[in-house]
Amino acid sequence: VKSHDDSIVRAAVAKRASASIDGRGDEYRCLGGWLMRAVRWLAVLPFLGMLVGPFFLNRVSPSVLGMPFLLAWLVAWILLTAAIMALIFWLDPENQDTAP
Amino acid sequence: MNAALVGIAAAVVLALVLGFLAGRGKQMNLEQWTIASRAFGAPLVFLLMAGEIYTTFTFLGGSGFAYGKGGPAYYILCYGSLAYVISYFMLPAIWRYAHENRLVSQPDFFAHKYRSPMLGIIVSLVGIVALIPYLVLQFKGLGIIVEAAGHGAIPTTLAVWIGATAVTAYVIVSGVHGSAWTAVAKDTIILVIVIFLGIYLPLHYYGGLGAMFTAVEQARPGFTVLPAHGDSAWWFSSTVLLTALGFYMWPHTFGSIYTARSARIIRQNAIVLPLYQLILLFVFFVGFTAILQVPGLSGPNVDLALFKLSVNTFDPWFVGVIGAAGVLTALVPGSMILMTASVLLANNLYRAIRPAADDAHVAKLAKRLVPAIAVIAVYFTLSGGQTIVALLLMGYNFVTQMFPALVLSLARNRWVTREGALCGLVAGVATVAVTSLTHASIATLFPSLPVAIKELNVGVIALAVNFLVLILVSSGARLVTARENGLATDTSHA
Repeated sequence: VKSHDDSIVRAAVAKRASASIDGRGDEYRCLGGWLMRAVRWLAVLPFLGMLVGPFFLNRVSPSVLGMPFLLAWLVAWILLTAAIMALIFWLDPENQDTAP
Repeated sequence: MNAALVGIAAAVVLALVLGFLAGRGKQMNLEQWTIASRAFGAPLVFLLMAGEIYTTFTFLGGSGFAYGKGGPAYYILCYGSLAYVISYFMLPAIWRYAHENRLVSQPDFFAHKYRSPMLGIIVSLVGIVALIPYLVLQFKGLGIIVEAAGHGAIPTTLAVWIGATAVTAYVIVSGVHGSAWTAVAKDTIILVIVIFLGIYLPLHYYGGLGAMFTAVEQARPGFTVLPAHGDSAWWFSSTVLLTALGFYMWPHTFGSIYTARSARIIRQNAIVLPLYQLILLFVFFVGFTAILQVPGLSGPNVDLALFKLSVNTFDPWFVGVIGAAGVLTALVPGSMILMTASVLLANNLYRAIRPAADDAHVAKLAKRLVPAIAVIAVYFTLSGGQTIVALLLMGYNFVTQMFPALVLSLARNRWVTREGALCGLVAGVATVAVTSLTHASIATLFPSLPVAIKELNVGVIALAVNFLVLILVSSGARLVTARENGLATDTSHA
């Protein structure tokens, strides 16, 4: 009986998730599903840019738009992060099940 | 009373009126008062989440940190963005579980997930401990603003008391509705003010952004990037990662997840919120401009940089406008923090001791605790001498300890046991407490390690201890359970 309720909840959630994907038809299970799984990995890039980048790009020049290079690099990654998240959101089938 | 103080007083009154109007006519049970019955759409959830980020910490702490430390301040720009990336994948699962089980608070989540009321109690305690420095820094900011705007006419002690009273009154009249609507006013004002200051001040004093950075570079070479030693790239990366993991572990931020109407809204916010971080850029520009214009601030006084520079540059009425914006950045998050701390004490600690207490009784107690917690925070505000950023980093080291137990509880095949989660959390928090109290760093603890490791944020050690204990105890508990199950078929102990 350990975590009995929990497993019911989890089963319900899993069912709902699969229903939403199945409801979209086969294209989501094959091409769309594969694409989404691949695109999700883009979310790793902001971590590389912001956590690893400063080790190699910790410099003042060349200045970009008046900013020290390191700062400009980080700002560029913030913009890229938003773009990457928009792409992931757009391709994620989970976000389409509430559309009319 | 000068024009600046009039503006600031007007902002406080406006916030109170807005809060009062938002809360009026709504029946306030516990759920209504704290999470508005999960009825907020994307714009309001966005503002609540954003509202918690743009606090005194960003306004005064961010500019002060850029002024005092230079390049390392950029960490503030990064960790939020990474936290939103994590949020896209992690928060919907939390929201769904909370929604299905009608959870109200963060400890509810842990207690429910791990079926351990004890874990819930410990999570509430950690939350309260971490919230106090966060509240202290808001009060500190309020004190700075009122004192600086009044040119010392109002002493710091009185200024802090006035600020604390305003926050307390605000929480009592409104609850979360007040936070949401004042967040609208606050975010608009702060956005305009910060962008204006960030563009105008470098232009006014140096003729442009590039010229300003060149002047700073000439006066203090390398100041606008990370230093080779001390707060180096190692410190930077470890701090960004730790604070990104801890970002949603704050009890009030965790609570704001519950207010969303759907999981989709939360995912949507993960796109827009990183862009919102860019406002910090302008805060840094102000801090860097102040370096050569108001030199000589040191220690906790670096937090005065933005305000000193404003007082030197503008007419009193405009200093009043800036002060009003600053007051709102402390008032809105301050009220959220104060409310969360009181609900944690009443709903999660008091109720754990007296399970018979009904909702009405707990809600009443929560409201009564608000002034008590405010007084405690005022005490620490007046007695402490740390910078705003140092206070927040301390709080972060505490809340980040909840991350391993939380993220592992979301896994489909949950491997972590309640004993593992509990012991790991306690071990991590104990490590943070010891290192904070003794002001230890990795360098002082382990002098023989390579420099790179010594420069890591000390929170990394606590997180490693936490994780190690979690794994060891979970494996041990699993072994014991397996043996018990082998010896007897009685499973009722679960």
